[in-house]
Amino acid sequence: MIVSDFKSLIPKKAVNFAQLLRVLGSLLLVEAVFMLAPLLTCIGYGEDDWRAFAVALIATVASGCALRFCIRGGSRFMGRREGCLLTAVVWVAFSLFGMIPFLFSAIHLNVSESFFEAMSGFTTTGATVIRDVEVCSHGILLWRALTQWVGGLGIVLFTLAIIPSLNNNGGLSMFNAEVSGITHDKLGARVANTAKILWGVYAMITLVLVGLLWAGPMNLFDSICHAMSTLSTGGYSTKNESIAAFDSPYVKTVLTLFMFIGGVNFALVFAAVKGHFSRLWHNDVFRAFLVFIGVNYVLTAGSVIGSGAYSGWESITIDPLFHIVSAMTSTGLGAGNFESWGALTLVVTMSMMYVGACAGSTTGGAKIDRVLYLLKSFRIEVKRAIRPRAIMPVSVNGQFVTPERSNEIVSFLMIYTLMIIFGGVVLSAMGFPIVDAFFSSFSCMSNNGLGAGVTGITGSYDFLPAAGKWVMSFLMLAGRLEVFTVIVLFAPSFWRR
Amino acid sequence: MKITIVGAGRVGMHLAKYLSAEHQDIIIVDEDAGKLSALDADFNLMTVAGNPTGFRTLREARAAEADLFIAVTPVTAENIVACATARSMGARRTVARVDRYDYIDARNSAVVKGMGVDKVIFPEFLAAQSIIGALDHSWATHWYEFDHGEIIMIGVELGGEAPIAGLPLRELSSISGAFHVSAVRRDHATIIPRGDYRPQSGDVVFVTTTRGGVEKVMELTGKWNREIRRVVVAGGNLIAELVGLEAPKRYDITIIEKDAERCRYLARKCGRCSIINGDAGENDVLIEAGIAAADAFIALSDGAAGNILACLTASEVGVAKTIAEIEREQYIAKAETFGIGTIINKQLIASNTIFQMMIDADSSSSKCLALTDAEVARLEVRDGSFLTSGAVRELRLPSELTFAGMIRGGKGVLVTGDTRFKPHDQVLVFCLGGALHKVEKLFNR
Repeated sequence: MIVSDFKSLIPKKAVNFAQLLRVLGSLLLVEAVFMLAPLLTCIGYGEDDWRAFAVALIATVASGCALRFCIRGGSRFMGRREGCLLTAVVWVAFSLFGMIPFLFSAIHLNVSESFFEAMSGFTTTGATVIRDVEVCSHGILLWRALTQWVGGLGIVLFTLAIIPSLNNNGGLSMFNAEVSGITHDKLGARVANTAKILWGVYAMITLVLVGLLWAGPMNLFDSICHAMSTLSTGGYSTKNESIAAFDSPYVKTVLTLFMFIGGVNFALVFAAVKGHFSRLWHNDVFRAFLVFIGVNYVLTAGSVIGSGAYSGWESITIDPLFHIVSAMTSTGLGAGNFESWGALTLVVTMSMMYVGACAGSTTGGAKIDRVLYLLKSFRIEVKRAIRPRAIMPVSVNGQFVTPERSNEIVSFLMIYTLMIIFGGVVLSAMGFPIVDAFFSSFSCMSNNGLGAGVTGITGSYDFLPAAGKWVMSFLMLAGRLEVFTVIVLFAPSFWRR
Repeated sequence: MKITIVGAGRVGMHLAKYLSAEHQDIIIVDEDAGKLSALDADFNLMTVAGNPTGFRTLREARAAEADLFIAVTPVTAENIVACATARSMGARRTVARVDRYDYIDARNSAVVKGMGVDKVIFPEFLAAQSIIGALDHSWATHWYEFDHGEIIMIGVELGGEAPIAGLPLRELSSISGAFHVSAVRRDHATIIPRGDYRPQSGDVVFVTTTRGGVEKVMELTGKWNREIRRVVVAGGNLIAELVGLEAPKRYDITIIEKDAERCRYLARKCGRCSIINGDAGENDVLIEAGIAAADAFIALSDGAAGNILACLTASEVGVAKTIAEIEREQYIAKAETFGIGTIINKQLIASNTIFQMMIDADSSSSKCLALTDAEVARLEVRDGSFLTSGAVRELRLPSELTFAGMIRGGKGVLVTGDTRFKPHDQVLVFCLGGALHKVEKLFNR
């Protein structure tokens, strides 16, 4: 409406719950559609787990319909608050319904394990509580891969692409709450265009990867699962030994390339797909990503030789490269036991887990963009020590950074680090060995999912106490939604009109 | 429709927000990245920061694919260059905001077209015309003509003496089929009245009528058209200058302006007007300008608050018609409750013009007029439409809208409960804020 009485513009309540729940209902119906795939897979393979998926499907459809069609009242208004809250709630709700198959399947996880597994899937952390994944049904394996694939680019982003009624300011605020990075690239005039383009590119690249993997030693089922968990940089595998099980340089090379693509801002990937390769090269963050990979590869390869772990050409070429890309893009797929590659490897791995890859990609971590801002301003501060009157703006990708933005970046890195420490302290307090506690917390917050067994004690997250699993699930969500979307819900002012 | 807007000033911003909410694809360009960032974060549209006439910026803003390219920066030359560039790139229709009469002069239209500008908007000129219209119909607060006056929509503030005050509307329609009460604004709310609604003193009623029905509307609302002769204008801005130039000779216009240099310019330009150099906020100056004997007072100077207060003061000394320019649309609704005769807002006028152009460019858009909390849409009845299935009273319409009138075969006709629509009727629909999509659904059924 064009001219409005001012009174009519003021929302009656701080948060418009009615509309929020209605939209949540529609989103759950979308999740139900995804559940059809593993259900049919189970039936196809003649596995009993189809019952678990049927239960999940019915529960999701029933709840979705109830929310969508039975809630009356309230306006259709959705603003920033609704956007933030709904985005956070959607991720939790998807995990809550997404855990039902794990509860009722043959592997019989308990509630905290199932929730952890589902949240780890959707946030593309890839930390698992299932010690023997090879006994799982095909349906369960597909569902794990599928949760990562959907979560990778974003649950909300996917629904924005397919639900026309979200193509408004409310949908846009959800987009802002979910998409990672400091600025959010829009590719079309309306948010649905952006979502459609991104999902189109994502789906297309996934298909290419399935084809490439299938052409190698993998069967079709493994190819599909690995394609989905690789491009989403999630890291769930269908094998206990992860990628090492295939022992194929071809598979490692292909996966390294596609993990790398998953670590690039998808707006750039879209430009590259359209043939604008120069855009890639002119992007500061992309170049920094390449430089980081190069430097760390040299360090790791050196560490392998230095520690005497050399065992053929693969061990200094594709293995360290695979490992570096896997750690940086927060995929966490394992190609071998990197613990024996020397102490330097561990240090490099940890620092790369912190940095992560480009914002706007499917990866976790603090993102290169922010670290790059930080490094550039650090350099300027050094120069300023000598020439205090010099005016030196910080620019990334040709855009100058305002002081407000640098504050935002610094406080993000601060809170991000504090949350890792918080998780570590909580796990330690529960009696978990201190190094493992901090490594697990770090791994979950950066959505990485590399095993907590870095110190050689455990191989999987099922050793975490139940309460610890909930705390880790929270960290995974906070890490995926880049902290502010989640933290803001704890601010009293969020709930006040 | 793909729309590129250049310039995130008041008009551009307003259009972008509104059209984005109306499901149009909006890309907005401005030099000031700070202005855009808030827009980008909260509204479903895309922003491009850059030089409005830069090739690179316009490419990024997808000017080539634009169905409608609107250049509304404050600088006319920039707007023209932007339009010309966009046109060469392939924009389908271009609109430029201008600030000189030359561009709207019919003699120059071919030249303007040749520059790649399909249509110009001159908000100050449009505002001046609305002011002159308000002087011509001094008894009404709102006056809109459709199809050159075939259908007229009039807003009238009812006084206690109005014959229709207190009567249920049902009884009115039996006395007279000459008009249609489309909406009523009472206190802070606009509503679509039903048969049992009783208008009362203080209400602003929106009445739709044809040319022949105007007299009847005046009679029933207890108004007479007071002949306006002496007009005092406070503030010598471009709108005042255009009023001075364009108003018919029967008006005796005095313009008060603070700046001496500007006064000299106005005195040379608008020979018929008296120009007073002084501050319209001072009593002496107002008296010298002849406020005591004035029939109309137009406040164009001080921003919303000053203009409203100046109008209220003028009413107190007996000026019959007051007109205030309100720059912020935020205050329009409030100002209307103060009993100001007519309110002028450039953004609204400019946007209404653009809506009209969108209808011309694309039959799927329907919006044509924005009022406080309500809007008027114009839609064509399709072949085999649900609307042709019976008389209006049998159609079970949503309560937020009413059919005010229609154009049938080029003639204005009012709509009553017994009207049966035919295909190709152009129907004017009055709907409450936010109900426009319901109207569109109705016409697509």
